[in-house]
Amino acid sequence: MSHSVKITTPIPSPEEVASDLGIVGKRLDGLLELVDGREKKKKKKKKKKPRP
Amino acid sequence: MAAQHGKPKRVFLNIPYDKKIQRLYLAYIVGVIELGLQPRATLAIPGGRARLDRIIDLIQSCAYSVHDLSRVQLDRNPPVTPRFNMPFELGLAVSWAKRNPEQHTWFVFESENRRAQKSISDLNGTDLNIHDGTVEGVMRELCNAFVRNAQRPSVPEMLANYGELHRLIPEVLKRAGTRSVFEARVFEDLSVLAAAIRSKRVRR
Repeated sequence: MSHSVKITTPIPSPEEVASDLGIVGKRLDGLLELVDGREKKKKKKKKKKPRP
Repeated sequence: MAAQHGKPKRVFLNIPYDKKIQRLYLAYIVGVIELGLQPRATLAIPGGRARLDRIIDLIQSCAYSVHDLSRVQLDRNPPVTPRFNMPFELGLAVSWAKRNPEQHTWFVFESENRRAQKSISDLNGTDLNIHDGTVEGVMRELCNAFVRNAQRPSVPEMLANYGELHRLIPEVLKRAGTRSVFEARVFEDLSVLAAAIRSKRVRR
């Protein structure tokens, strides 16, 4: 059919994507933590002090 | 159901649920999310008499559909049969779009050039999106099909999202209590995670 269509709608936030799928509450929080949590763990590793 | 207006539009992903091409399944989810669209699939639809009606409702609720015809081989699980679901659902979408051209646009994706013209010659004269059976190819062809003027992701950015989402699969499966990514809950979780990964990149 058409080889392309123009998309002009705004990019939805993760919360909007979740809402459209009916995902709310703890399940949504858990998913968002999964992405942000990994980032925090990586930062913690960097703070290790060198051995005396 | 009418297509959505003024908010992110849904894309019906008519793709094979086949472990051998799990990476392409993941690529479609990431690609559609990266382009600011909402992926939908038949995974959440149970079997039974109402299944066909619900598939039709799902197609009609989506502004676009992507039909991947790259797995046309015989399914070797006995009894050996061809896979008819994808071309069948393509037919449903084509019929809906023909009667409602303002509400639905469909795309056919394939891994090999010219094969679909042989396996489904009714599509002769239709422009197909050939993804070469690769994740990068799926991303490229999704970008060709869905063109954003603003906030357009690059293919390397989409591939980075894919890599990060791929690393999260074991945890997603563990939380869902399953070993398969081809389940409704996993599909939904992967969609939200892909959006969260994209959002994290944009915030940086």
